[in-house]
Amino acid sequence: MLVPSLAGLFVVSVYPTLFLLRSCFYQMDLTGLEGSFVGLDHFRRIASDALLWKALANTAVITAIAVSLELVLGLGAALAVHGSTGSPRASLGKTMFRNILIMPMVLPPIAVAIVWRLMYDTNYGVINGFLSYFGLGPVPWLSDPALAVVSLILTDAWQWTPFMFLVLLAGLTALPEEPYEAAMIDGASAWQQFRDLTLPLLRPVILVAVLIRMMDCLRLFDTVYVLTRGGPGNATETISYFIYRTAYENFDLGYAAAVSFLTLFLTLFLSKLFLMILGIKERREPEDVRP
Amino acid sequence: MNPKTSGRSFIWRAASLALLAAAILAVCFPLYWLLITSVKFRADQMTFPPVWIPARWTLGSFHEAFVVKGFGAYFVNSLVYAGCSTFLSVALGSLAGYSLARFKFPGQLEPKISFWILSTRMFPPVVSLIPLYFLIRKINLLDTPAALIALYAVFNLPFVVWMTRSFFKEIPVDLEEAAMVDGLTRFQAFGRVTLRLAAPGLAATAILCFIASFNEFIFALTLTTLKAVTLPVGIAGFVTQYKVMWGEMAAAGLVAAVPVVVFSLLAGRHMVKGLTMGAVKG
Repeated sequence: MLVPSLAGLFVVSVYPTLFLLRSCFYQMDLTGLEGSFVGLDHFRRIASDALLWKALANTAVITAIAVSLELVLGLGAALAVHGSTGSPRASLGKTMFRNILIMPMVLPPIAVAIVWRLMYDTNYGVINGFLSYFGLGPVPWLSDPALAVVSLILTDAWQWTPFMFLVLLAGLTALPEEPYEAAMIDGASAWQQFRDLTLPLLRPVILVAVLIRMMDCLRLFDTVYVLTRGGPGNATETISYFIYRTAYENFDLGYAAAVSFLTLFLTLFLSKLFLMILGIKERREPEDVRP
Repeated sequence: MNPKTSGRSFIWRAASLALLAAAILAVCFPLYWLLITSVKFRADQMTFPPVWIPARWTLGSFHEAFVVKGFGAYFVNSLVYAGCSTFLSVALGSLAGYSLARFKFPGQLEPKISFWILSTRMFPPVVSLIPLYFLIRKINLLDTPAALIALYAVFNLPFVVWMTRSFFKEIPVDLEEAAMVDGLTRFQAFGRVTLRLAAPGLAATAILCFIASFNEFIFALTLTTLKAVTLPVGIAGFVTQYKVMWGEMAAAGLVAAVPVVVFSLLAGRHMVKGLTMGAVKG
C-alpha cells in the first residue's frame, strides 16, 4: 500500500536531485536533452555572478524583514485575542475572526498579487489616493527599487501574518495555566508574565512557525511575477524568479539547474533544522501502545 | 474567567479590541477593493482620487473576462485539475498513511519512512522545475491536463500521508480488531470503521489539497502553453498583456478566490493543523 506513494515521491524528489547533480556539469538548452560536458564552469559562474548573489541577498532581506514583521504583528494579534476570551460570545467572535483571517492565506497568490497591484498603482491606486488627502505622494510603489522591495514585503505580510497569528494562538491556547496562577500570586506584572512565562513557553511554536515561513520565502515567486517581474532592474528578483528567468527567458537551462542545486542545498539545511525540532516533539509523545 | 487576564484593566481590553479591529480592517479592505473594482464601470476605475463607494454597478468586467477573454475555460481547467489530483492524492496517501500507522516495520524503518516522506515536502518546487519539465517533455505530456493532475497529486502526497498517519494513529486499533472478530476482513474493517471515524479529518485534508492545487502557479506556467492553461496562469498572462484592464483583472481574481474561500471556511478549525503539517494542534 505504500508503494504507489513512495514511487510517486521518488519521481518528484530523488529523480530531480540526480538530474540536477548531473546537469551541474553539463550545458543544456530547451531544444536538447543531451548537452556537452562543461566541468566546473557553472560553479565558476555561480561564484562570479553578481545577479545571482543579488537575488540571494534580495531573498534573504525579504525573508528576514517579512518574517520578523509577520511574527511581531501575529504575536500581537494572538495575545490580544487570547486575552479577550472567556465568555461564549467572545469565543464566537474568535471563530469569526479566525475565519476572516484565514482568507488572505488561502487565496491564490496570483489573486493576492492582483489586489495589491491595483492598490499600489502610482496614478490611480487607492493607496496613493488615500495619501493624497494628506497632501502626500504620488509614491512610486512598484517602480522605485527600494520601495518595490517594501511593497513585496507588505504584500507578503498581508498574506502570511494570519498564518503566524493562527499558529501562535493555537500555541497560546495550549499553554498550561498553573504557572500563570503562581505568577499572579507572586504579584508578577503583565509584562513580566509575558517576558518570563509566555515567551519561553511559546518558543518551540515560534520556532516552527518562523522556520515554515522562512522556507516558504525561498519559494517566493507568484507575487514577484505579477507585481514587479523582478524589477525595477533586479531590485526584487528572488532566487525562485532568478531560476525561472534563467531557464525560461534566457533558455540557459544547465546553469539554471546548477543554481537550483545550490538552492536545494540551502533548503535542505533549513529543513534539517525543522525536522530536528519536529523530531524532538515526536520523541516526547507517549510510547506506542500497539500490541 | 481566564487567570491570565483577570487582573488587567479596562484600558488594556480596549487596546486589544482596537488592535483586532485594525487587523480586521487591514485584512478586509484589500478584498473590498477587489470586489468593488470588479463591479465598477471603467470610467470609475481610473479616477483620482479613487471612487471609494461606486454609485453605479456593472457585471461587464465579468462578462468581458470570462466570456470574451476565455477565462471561463481556464477556470474549469483549474477546478478539474484540482479535483482530480485531490482525489488521487487522498486515495493513495491515506493507504500509505494507514500502513505507516498500523503495520509493523522492522527496526526503526517506520519513522524513517515517515520522515523521508515529510522531507520531500520541504523540496522547493522551483528546484524540481527543470528536471520535471524535461521528464514531462520526454513522455510527451507538455500542455496536457494529465501532467498537471499527476504532478499536483504527487506534490500533495507527503501532506496527505503525514496527516492521515496521525489521524489513524489516534483511532484505537481495538475498534478494528473488534470488527475483524465480528467477521470483517482487514480491508472491510478499514473501510467501515477506521475510514468512517477519520472522515472529518480526511475531508479537511482533501480541502487543503484542493486549495494547494488550485492555487499552484509556477508549474502550470512552465508546463502549459495553450490548451491546459489554469486560471492563475491565465490571470498572470492577462496582467502583463493588458496593463490597464483593471475591472477584468479584478473580476478574474475575485472568481479565483471564491472556491478556495468557500472550501477553507468548510475546513475551519482543521486549517491550522493542516497548514503547519500537524506541528501545532488546531
